[in-house]
Amino acid sequence: MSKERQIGTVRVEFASKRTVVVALIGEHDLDSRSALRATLAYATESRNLLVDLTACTFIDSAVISLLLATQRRLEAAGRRAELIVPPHPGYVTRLFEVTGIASVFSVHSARSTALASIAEFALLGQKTA
Amino acid sequence: MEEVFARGGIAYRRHLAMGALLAVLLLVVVAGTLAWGQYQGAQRTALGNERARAVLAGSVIDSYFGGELATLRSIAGSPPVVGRDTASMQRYFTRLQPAGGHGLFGAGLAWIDRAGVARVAALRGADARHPDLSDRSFVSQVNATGTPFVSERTNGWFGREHVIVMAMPTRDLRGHTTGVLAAAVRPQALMITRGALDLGDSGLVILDREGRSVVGGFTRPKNLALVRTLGGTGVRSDTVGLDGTSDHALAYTTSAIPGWTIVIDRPRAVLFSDARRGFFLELALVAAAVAILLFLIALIVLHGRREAERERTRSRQRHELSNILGSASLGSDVSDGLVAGLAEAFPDALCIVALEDADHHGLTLSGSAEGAFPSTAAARAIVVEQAATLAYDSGAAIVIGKEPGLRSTLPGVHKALLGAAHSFYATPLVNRGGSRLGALCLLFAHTHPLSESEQAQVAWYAEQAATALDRTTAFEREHEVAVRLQRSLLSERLPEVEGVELIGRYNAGGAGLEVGGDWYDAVRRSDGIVHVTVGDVAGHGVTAAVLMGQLRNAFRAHAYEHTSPAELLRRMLRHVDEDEMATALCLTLDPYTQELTYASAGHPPSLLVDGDAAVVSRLGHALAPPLGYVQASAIREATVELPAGATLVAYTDGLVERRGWSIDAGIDLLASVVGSSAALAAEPLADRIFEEVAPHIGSHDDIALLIVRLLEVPRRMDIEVPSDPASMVTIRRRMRAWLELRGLTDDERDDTLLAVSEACNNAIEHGYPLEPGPLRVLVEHGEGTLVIRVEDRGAWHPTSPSFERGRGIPLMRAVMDTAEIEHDGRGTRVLLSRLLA
Repeated sequence: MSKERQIGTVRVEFASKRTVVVALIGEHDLDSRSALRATLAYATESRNLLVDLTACTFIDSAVISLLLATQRRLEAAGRRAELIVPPHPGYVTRLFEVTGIASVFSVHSARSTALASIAEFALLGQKTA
Repeated sequence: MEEVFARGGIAYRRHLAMGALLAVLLLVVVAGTLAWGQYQGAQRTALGNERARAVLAGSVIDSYFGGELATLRSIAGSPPVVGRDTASMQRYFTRLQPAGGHGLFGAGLAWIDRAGVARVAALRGADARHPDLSDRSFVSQVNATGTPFVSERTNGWFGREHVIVMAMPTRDLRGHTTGVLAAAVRPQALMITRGALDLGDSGLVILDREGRSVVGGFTRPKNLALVRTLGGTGVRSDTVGLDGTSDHALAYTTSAIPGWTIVIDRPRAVLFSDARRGFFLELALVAAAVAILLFLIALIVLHGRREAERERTRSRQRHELSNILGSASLGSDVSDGLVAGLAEAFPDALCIVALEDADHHGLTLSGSAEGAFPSTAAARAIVVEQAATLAYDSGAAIVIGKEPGLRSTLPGVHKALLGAAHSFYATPLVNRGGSRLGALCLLFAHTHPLSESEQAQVAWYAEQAATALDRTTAFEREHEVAVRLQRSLLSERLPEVEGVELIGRYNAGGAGLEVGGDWYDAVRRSDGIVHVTVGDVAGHGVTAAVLMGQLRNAFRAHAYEHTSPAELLRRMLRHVDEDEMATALCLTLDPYTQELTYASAGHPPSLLVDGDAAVVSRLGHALAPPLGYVQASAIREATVELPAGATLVAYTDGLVERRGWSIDAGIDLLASVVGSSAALAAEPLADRIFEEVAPHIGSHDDIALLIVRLLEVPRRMDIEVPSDPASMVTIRRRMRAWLELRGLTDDERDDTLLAVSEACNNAIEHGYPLEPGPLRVLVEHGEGTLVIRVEDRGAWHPTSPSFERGRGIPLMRAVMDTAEIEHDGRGTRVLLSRLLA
């Protein structure tokens, strides 16, 4: 059982003053949703969000809904929530393909491009501000 | 009792032999003493006889001289002598003593006047010279004393002979002494009496007073000094003889008239020869008696030894039989042991043992195969049955030493028996309570009377057998109870699991042995996982069966609570007390993932056979000491992925443990049989194991065998789990493995996992929002289709719509071809389907 518990974990990295990277590792579902929600709420209090799904093996509608809600909350606050999904085929790629979520989020294939994109937005945002 | 049996007789005989030897010794001493006494007595008698002879010889000499003197006196009184007419005196003398003839006196007769002149003489022999009577002192002595005279020694000689002179005074009519009448006597005349005296050839010596031998022809004495010391009458039993040699006996007496000494001198050897002969004869008699007695004692001792040897043999046989009967657990063990024991004790007998059947309606017979009679099997069967029935019916011992007794004592005896047996012995087997349990009998083809000790032995055998039978009967009864108990505890049927063949076998081992505590069991949980256990409680009988029941109950109770075999073993451990021991194997098989997890507590390793490669491996990890010894924390578990078509063989040690073998040898034998039978289904495999392994092991222990065989990946995954969001990870993991085994593409698999997750989320959120309930997930993989059905039994609880909800059903619809949700009073069912590539 302990082996299975380890599957759904989250790693939070404060990549810069303005950006936090939350990596979902393993499987995330209804069971891990509330923990994930709390984590995201804390991590994104004043930062842009990059959700790294590279090591994610499963997410269901509960997690997708949480991600969408978080994105809506951040955008309302003038911040960004973007995704990192590796280009190679896998569960998440397939899910995004089937559900069309990719059209809602900005999806990056690598962390470097995602961070660059966020930094650019932050600069723009500052300029705009 | 055994001691008395074995030792009493021997000790008794040993004492008897010692007593007899002592008696013989006493006899020798007493008889020897008596013989010695007799010998002494005989010596004394011989000496006495010798003395009597000496006295007799003395008196003969006395009477001889007395007679001569009387003759001389009557001549002196005759008229010619009284009248002193010398011419008539000469004529008278010549008449009395004719020349050349035998006169009254050996040498001659003469009258000498007072002046000492020989006036008249009649001498023997014509040529005889004048006698030398030069010593005429006796003339004056006789003249002076007027008394007769006998010379004390040979006085002068006549011819070549010494003579003894006798003199008598002569008187005239007035009584005046006129002269002396002298006669010469030849000592040779005494020789005449020698034979009459029976003095033997030698030893008689007559000596004059000067020690000169008077009687000729005798040994010339050399030791005359000895004679001078002898006076009166007596014997000297051990002295120097007259010839100067020692070891002589002397008898002597002094003659009265001439005052001579008569000595009889003989060597002791001669004198005592009779006494010694008698003594030796007696000694020989005693020796003969002793020899006879010693021979008899030796016979008795030898006989005793042989008897003791036989008794030792019997004692050993009794001891062996006691051991055999003591370890017997079945009536047949008793009868076999008894037949063997009787056959050894009586090798030329046909030994038959009849035991009453458990239902008291018949007899079970067993007999020794020994003996060439009866010659045919059919005749033998009749004889055996006849004899056994007779022995059993008699109720008392039958002892018939000779064939005629058989007919008269047992009228109606079968002629086959009459023809076969000349001696017949039988005794019923009666227990302490007096119940008849059977009989034993001995048949001899020839006349063979049994000695008392042999009969006692047979009786002892019967008694021992009856005691053993009492025990085995009680044992068999308990065994039956225990077998029933165990059978009632063992699962009649194992759960049916799709894609898996699962069978259990139990073999109670030798019917005579106590039932063991072996078990197997299997439980299929609602989540599809199968729990299997095999175990063995140490010990036998009802106690073991009861603990076995407890352990199986624990297994069943906890199998629904726990998926971990190690955890199950820990729960079972709680039921095992410190003085109890059990080995157990618990394992879980997930038919969907084809994973096997196992934990063993002291149990022999199960064998896993790869269906294709026929490679046999032992489940050798996750081993712990047996229950009763192991600490709960030491119980581990290990997981293996089963290859396709794999077969698992779990068993108890009765299958592989053989005395004298290492347990590995037994397991290897099992492995070789299992490895060569990989294609067999579980049932034939079990048959083959019992045919090919169990006989080689030959164990009387009971055996539990459980075989799990993977047939194929199940077509349907059908599980029921609690509606716990936390369990979703596990469900997806198992389902992912199953879908992969079923050969779905990665996309089809991922879509299915997502759809099932969404359907389950639906049930968790809407069916059981307050507390969890059962959630059934059924996925069926058909020909090119996948049908999913997720059911809950909750009432539908609509939730308030929010941005975070409501995306499940669209998702399901997105990844499935059809998606329907049904609500009714029984709950909610989500039905999904999808066509596959």
